[in-house]
Amino acid sequence: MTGVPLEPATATRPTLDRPAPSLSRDLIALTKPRIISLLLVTTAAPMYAAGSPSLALVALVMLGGYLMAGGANAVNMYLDRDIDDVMARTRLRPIPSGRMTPQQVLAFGVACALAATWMLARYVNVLTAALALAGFYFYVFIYTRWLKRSSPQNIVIGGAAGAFPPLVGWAAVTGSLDIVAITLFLIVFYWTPPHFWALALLKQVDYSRAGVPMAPLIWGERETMHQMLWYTLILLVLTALPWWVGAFGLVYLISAIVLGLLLLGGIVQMLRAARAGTPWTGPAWWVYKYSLLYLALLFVAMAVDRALGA
Amino acid sequence: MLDRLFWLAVVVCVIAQFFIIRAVLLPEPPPPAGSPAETGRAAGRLRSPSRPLEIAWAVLPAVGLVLLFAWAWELRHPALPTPMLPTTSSAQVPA
Repeated sequence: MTGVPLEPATATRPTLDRPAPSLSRDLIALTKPRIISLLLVTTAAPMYAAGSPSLALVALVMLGGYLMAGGANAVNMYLDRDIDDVMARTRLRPIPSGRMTPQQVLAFGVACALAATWMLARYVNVLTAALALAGFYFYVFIYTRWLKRSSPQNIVIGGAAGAFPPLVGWAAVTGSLDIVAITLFLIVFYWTPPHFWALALLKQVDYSRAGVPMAPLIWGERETMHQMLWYTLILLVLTALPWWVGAFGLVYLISAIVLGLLLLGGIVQMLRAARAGTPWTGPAWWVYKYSLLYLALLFVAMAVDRALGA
Repeated sequence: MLDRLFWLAVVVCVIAQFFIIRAVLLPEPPPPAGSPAETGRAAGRLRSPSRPLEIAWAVLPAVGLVLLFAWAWELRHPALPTPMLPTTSSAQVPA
């Protein structure tokens, strides 16, 4: 809670033409399907990189992963309902817009997580269920409840929550974790700061109004951009590590290098624009959007590499 | 060649991680006048984070990286098993 009176959300509430709200549409919105789609890619690709899973297993893990991540997102909306009402990009969510009560959203989120835990433990394996549940707890308690409003490192440490899906996918196929799975975890972990700080740079007004200490508000814009550069450099190195240990071949390595250099180039371009005093929001948007594509393509490259090498 | 690439990767990570940790050790810069950061601080919505915790959060991933690199190195350079010394049973001991 910010403890500071904020201007009414209705003051600048967007009035774009949108489809009429319905309960089913709101329930889907609570799960943040667009965000989950990337999580599902980082779950499914490691499954094919780890072995040859049946379609039924992939479908089960996808459904369980969707429910778990969707549940975490719904509980996140319950916990963040006060600040969702003051940020332009979150005002139309089911709670701030008054279409659902906080209790309904919390119940929905917990029910999704319970269903996912049962399904993964019963039909996949206990390790997979435990890892998915750990991701849920990390997102709800470590990120949303603790770090989001207290530290500019919220995205760094909290980003670990989004790094659980590769572990879930790997464990579903192998029943264990190894160095490749841990490297995939760290790849998503080090990818998260450059991705979200690009958005934080663009949405500083929103985060300031909500009292969320995102990096640009605490360290300044220039330092945040430098930090994005350092995290991306480590990310590039980490993406080569699975090749170095012999897990993936040249198709993956070349993809990782090309994709990573493009991301690095976007960040350097943004930094150059900021240093020159010219508008940097264009490059920042590019980095934000490209980083989504980057992660998806990187993980697809892993699966393709394994398929070609098999 | 592969070992050189490994150490090059380690050096890149050490340099990057140094600048990551350095950012939390340096004093926070004053926000530019009229910026969202300044508005948030003036309104009391944004507060400075706990310094020791910030340092811990910055160091923690670096520890994870060190462990990962050590693990990767060990995988490619497994330690040779130490040769077993021949055991001497009581039956072989000369009377």
